[in-house]
Formats: sequence, C-alpha cells, structure tokens
Amino acid sequence: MNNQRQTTKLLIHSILILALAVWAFVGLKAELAKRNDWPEFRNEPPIVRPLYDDANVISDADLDKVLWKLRPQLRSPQEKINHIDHALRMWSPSASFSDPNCISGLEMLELMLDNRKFRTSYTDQFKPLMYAGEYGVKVRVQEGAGSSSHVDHTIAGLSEIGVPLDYPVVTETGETTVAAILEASLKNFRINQFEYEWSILAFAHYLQPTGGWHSREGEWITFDRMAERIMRQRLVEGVCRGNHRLHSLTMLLRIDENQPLLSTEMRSQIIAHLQNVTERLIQTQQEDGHWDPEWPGDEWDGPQNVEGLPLGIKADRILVTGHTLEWWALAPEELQPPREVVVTAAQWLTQTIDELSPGEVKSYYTFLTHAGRALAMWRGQFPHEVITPEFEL
Amino acid sequence: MTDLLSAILFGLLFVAISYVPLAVSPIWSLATDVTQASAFPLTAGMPETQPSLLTEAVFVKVRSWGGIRALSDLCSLVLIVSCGAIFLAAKSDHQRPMLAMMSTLVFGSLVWVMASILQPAVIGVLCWSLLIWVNTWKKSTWSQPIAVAVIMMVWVNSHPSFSIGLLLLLSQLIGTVIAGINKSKQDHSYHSWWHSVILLEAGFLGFLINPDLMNRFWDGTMLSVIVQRPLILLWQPLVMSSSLGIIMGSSWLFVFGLSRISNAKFHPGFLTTWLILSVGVCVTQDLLIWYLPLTIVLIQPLLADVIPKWDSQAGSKPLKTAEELTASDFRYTWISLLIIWLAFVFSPVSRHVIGGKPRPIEQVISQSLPLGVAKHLRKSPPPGQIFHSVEWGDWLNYSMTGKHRLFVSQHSLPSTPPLVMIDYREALARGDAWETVFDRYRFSTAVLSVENQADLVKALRESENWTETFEDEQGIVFHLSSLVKKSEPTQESSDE
Repeated sequence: MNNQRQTTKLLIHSILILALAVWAFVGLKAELAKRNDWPEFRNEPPIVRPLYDDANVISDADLDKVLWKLRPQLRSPQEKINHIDHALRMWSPSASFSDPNCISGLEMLELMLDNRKFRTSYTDQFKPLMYAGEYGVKVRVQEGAGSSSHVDHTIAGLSEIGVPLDYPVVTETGETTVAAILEASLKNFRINQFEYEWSILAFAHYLQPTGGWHSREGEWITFDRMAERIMRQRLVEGVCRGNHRLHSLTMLLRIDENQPLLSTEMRSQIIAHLQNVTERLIQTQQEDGHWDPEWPGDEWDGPQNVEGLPLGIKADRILVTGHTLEWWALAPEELQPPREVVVTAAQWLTQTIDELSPGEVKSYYTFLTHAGRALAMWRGQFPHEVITPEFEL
Repeated sequence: MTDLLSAILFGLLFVAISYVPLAVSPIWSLATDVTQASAFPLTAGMPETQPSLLTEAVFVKVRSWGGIRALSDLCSLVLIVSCGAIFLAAKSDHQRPMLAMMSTLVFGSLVWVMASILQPAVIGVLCWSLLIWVNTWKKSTWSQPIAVAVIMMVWVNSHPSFSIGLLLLLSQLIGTVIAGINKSKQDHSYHSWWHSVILLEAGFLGFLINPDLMNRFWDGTMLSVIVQRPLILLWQPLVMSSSLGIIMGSSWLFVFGLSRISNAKFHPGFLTTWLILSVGVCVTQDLLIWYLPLTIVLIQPLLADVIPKWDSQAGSKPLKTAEELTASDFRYTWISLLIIWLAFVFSPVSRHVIGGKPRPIEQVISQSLPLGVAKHLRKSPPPGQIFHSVEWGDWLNYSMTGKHRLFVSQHSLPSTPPLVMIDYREALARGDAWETVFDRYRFSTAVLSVENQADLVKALRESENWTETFEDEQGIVFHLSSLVKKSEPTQESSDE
C-alpha cells in the first residue's frame, strides 16, 4: 500500500516536472525564434545612378584622359586585393580593356570571389580572402596584401555595382553564393562597431523592405538607427576623412526614394545633416578648388583633430576632393552646392590627376578610383559606360 | 543568560548596520524618474528588462515619502531582517542561540565590511536568507512550500538573482536523493526527497508569478548569463591576494578544517549549493554575497559538534521544562525586548517613530559617491556625451538636472549592448585605446574616479586635447580643451 502511494507520488511529480521542462523548452524555442527575425534578402540590388550630366564639370576629352590614367593595370601577381576591390567598384564586372596590363572587371570579380582564381595570384603564404565563418562567408580584413582594407567594403562594393546575391562564391570549403557574405555581415553587425558605413551600404542595397531586426546583441536595428549612428561621430572621423559615411547617407536617401528605408523624420535629419556638410564644404573650399583634410572646419566641440596621411598632403587633397565629388554626384538637388563649387573642384582634380606620375597613381590608386568614378558620374555615366572595349588614348 | 547576551549582540548589530552608509547601487532606483533612453542614449534599441519592478516600486515610494534618508533606513532594516533570518537558520540545527548569534555576527560584520558590495542585491539577500531559513524547517508541513512559493514570487519580481533560489531548491533535491542512495550513513537531509520535490515545485510556482512568465528565466537569466552578462556585468574573477580572496580562502580552509575535526555531517542540499557557489565565486566575486550566508548556515552542525556548550548548564542541573519557563515570568523576554528597543532608539531608523534631528546627508550616503563631481556638473551641465564610471552613472543621473547624455549605469546595464561594455573596458585599460573609444562615442566630458581609473586620469592629463576642470577626493572632471577655451570656465575644486 505504502509502495503504491510512493509510486503515485513519484508519477505525479514526474509529470509536473516533465510539464515544466516542456514549457521551458517551448519558451526557449519561442525566445530563440524571436531573436531570429533577420530580414529577407533581395537578389538584385538597385543600381543608384548619377543624377547630373554637366560638361562644365569635366569635358569628354578630359574624362577620357582621367579614365585612361586610372585603368586597372593590376595584372601583376600578388597585387593588393585592396586595389582590386576598389578597381572592381570603379569599373564594374562588365569593363574590359585592350591594354594587356589591365585586368577586366570579370577577372577582378572572379579573383575576389573564387578561391581557385585567388590562388593563381596569391601563394599559400596568403590566407584566403573568402573563408567560411560562423554565420556565412567572411571576408578577410587588414591582414596584408591578400585581404580587404575595411570591414564589409567588399560586399558594399558588390552591392553598388549590382552583383546579384546568387552569384557564386568559391571558398576552400566549397561553393556558395554572395548571399553567404551578406549573411555573415548581417549577423555580425553591431551598431557600435568600429567600421559600419559599408555594412549599412550593403544592407540598404540587398535587404528587402524591413521594419527592423534584432542583432545578435539583442539590439533592435533599423535604418533610422544606422543613420543616427553615422551622424553621431565628428564629421572628419571615419575612413577617407569621414566621406564614406556621407556617401552611405546619400545612398540611404537615394534608395529610400524607391524602397522605404527611413522614417520621414530621419530622412529630414539626414538631409539637414548633409546640407550642413555642404555648407561647410562651400566655406572651406580652397581657392584652386580642392579641400584639405580639415574640410569640416570647427564643430560644436572644437576643431578637427586630423593627422596627415603618410602619402603626403597632395594625396590627402585628392582623397577628400574626389570623395566629395562622388557623393555629390549622387546627392539630390537640395544637397547640392552652387555648381561653380563642383566645377572648380573637378577642374583641380582633373588637372592634379593628369600631373600624377605612374608611381603616384599606383600609390594613390584606391582613392583615385573614387575620383575617377566621381568625374564620370558628373557626366551622368559610370566609368565602364564611358569606355569602349578598345578604350585607349 | 546566553539569550540575553545574544539579544545584546543582536542589538549592537542592529545599531551598527543601521549606520552603514547608502552605497551607489540602491540609488539606481532613484533614476527611474528619468526616461532611461533619454539619459542613456546607448541603450536605445535594446530590450528594456525590468526584473526589479517590485524593488523599484518600493524604493521609489519610500524615497518619495522620506527622501534618501528613508531609503537608507529601509536598506538597513532589510539587512537586519536578513541577519535575523540567518540567525534563525543557524539556530535551527542546534538550538544554541549564542553560537548562532556569534555566527550571525560574522555575517553581519562582513555585511558591514562589504556594504557597498552587498547593497545592489539588498532585497535579493533578504529573499536568499529567508529561503535558507525556510529550508531549515524540519517539519515537512504545507507551510514550508507556501513560504517557499511566496519568497520566490517576491524574489523574481524584485531582483534578477532569483535563479540562485531555484538552484538551492534543486540542490536540496539532489542532496536528498544522494543521501537516500547512500543509506549506510545517517541521512542529514532536512526532509525527504519527495518533500524536496514539492519545495522545488513550489519555488517554480512562485517564480512563475511574474509578468514575463518563463521569459524572465530565459531573458533575464539564461541567455543573458551565456551571451551578455559576463560582458556587461563586468564580472571580476576572484583574486586570491585581494581582501575578498583572503575571505574566500579563509572560509574554504575553515570549512575543510572543520569537516576534518568534526564528527557531524553537512546537510547535503546546502553542501551541493555551497560547492556550486564556491566555483561561481571564482568566476565572479559578486557571488560572494550569496556564498557568505549559506556558509554560515552550512557549518552550524559541525560547529555545534566541536564547540563546547558554553551556553548550556546541562551538566550541572537539569533544564527547566517549557511549563516551568512560561510559568515563571517574562523577565528575559522583557529585557531582550528592551535591548532591541534601545538598539532601535540608537539607530537612525527610529527617527521616523520618535522624531529627532536627521543625519547630515554626507553621513547617509557613502563616500564612494561622487557628490562633489555631481555638484560641479549640475552647476555647469556639459554638452554632449559624458564618459563616466559605470558605478557612478545612476548617481549622476539622479543629481544632474535637465538634458544630459550619460554613458552606462548599474540601472541601464542590462539594456546596454555588450560591445559598449567592451569599449568601456578598453578605454580604461592601459595604453592609448581610450582615444579610439572616445572618438567613437564622441565623448566631450570625462568623469573619472581618482582611485579606480588612475591610468585614464594620467592619460587625459597628458593629452593636450583634454583639460581638467574639477577635482576632489573622489573624482576628476575633464572636458575637451576646445570646449574649455570656448566657455573659459575657471578651475575649481571642492575645497574652494
């Protein structure tokens, strides 16, 4: 009798504990599901085209000269991936050149995305550029010549030139697609991370309209919050004297015109921010048209704290002026300075590029690609649309 | 006589604890007047976890009634009641009040020594002490599971440490099962294994009475422990050479030594929890506040075995029967009550009943709080984001008026992205990493502790971009030099 009572007790309590365990398991599953609200991807990113075509900014002949000078003569083995990455963004996969020293757009794309091609140029002493990470394919960053220069620079570049997400990617562990790079970027993204401007650019291009998602830190991420993050820091901070952040904000505005990304309030805030930047640029433009690294002038918390580039002041000026013209070429009318500001800057840039030695072109190549792309866009075209297959001077 | 001596000691403990100054952390509840996201912009977008709703409601109510002094008194009373619960738990094993009182005094004096550490979890400590006490009830009646359920219900709504209570209940069960298997030895469990199951179920039931149900466990405990807590709660591993390390090391040696010389046995449930907490303390010394009261109760059977019965004259004459005691008079009871009343009168708590001059606020509040710094910032509120010690965030938020952008506080910790805390640590580490972090968050003011952040203080002093505008014994305020030049404030100090 006593034994039977004990067994009944045991049974009742076992059932209770089992019920609690099931409840706990269901709760955990629901909790995890809540944290897996990642946005959906869209295969074809939008191409954000330049808005202006002004021959006063640069003539056809000058543009040809600039683009010829900046053709991707990157066929040498173990060329810096950083250069290939930038050249691909400037020239896009459809560019090809008659110059045998030049590498075509498609070759650049394959070098970046196919580890077998990568290995033909980079010996085993280089770690692969693309590798399988926890959440997808990761791009190696700042680990020497065989790696990219900035977090998510590669995926952002691919998004801007319209590479679809189902484009194949080959790593040492097998074949996947560009979507795996985006997935890794998305799942590793944190709002306070050191470099974020390219991540945001890639998300704006590749994500389906979304109200937001939870990061792995549990933070609710929206494009409004990302825009806020970009505008939080001092203007000159960030790579290329803060210009990539301005570029990302401009792209958010442009993409938002066709696909809602931002709230009305945030859109107004971004416009006000960029108008303020334009005002500053008008004030700080030098007589000959260029800008110096301290281009924003004083902010409420004082003057900019700028250290010069190791490449010298000329490089710094090309960097700032080229990048500025690039985002202006994509920015809506309300963010534009008087056109003579653009014309003077473009003329200085064209002349300066023309005077560069081949060695300087090689050294400055990354930011020269921005300058070249900017000048082409002021003629309403991307560089690969300006040139023909037989492109030469 | 020993009862009287115990009452005197308890009275002394009462007075001593009531004078413990209010430390930083309980004041987080003062910050609830201010919208968190507006004062701590870095928490925007993070889920707002509120595992301390009940505590906050009580603290805010008490504060609105009697200000910070009343809040300080409440914290003291809560600690005194915790001591009382530990005393009862300790006494339950041997019915020797003097031994139990001496043990409670050790706990109480450690409360005194570590007041600033104990304070954040003051309600949690109370629940923990009560739960330990309830677990020592030897009669397996229904009042015990009801008490466990009520304690767990209060705990889960008062402080995120509630999972330690569940751990104790689970350990009790494991302990009784192990003791049941090992039947050759005497069973030292307080109750049978199935009663332990009932207690565990009652604990779970109490735990489930919260607005988030199971999510409170997953969200507030498991996931944050695994994913975030080590980062955001600034877990400090135990350093054996520190004072806490010495306390821990001594306690381990003491418990080990005691177990060798005593013939008595530990209660298996308490021993299991104690072992888990011992490991836990090595990972994060914050667990010490849960470890200490349990240790006090754990060692009672062994202490009773090895310490002579000085509080009993059993050998010389027979003990009085209960009838004899109650039939005689209530002398001891009245004298004990008088002692407790005297302790109450001499404690600041009595002001609310019998009136009297309130203590100066400087005595009520711990000197670890940045009073001078807060006063300075209130006088000239800095624009932009402020970098400050996490421990000071709530006090600054409470003290400063108007709009301000603070960094992280104890109150905002659970809603702070882990990366922000990594950056915080990075900034405080030796080297020049602080510059990158300061740029990233655009700090224009830095409020630093003279004692705890000496490296960063030195770095900012050496930097041309930063200018010191205030210094006292606790803290230093730096502003961006460009801002100082703009407003040209004069250097001041608390002495001026």
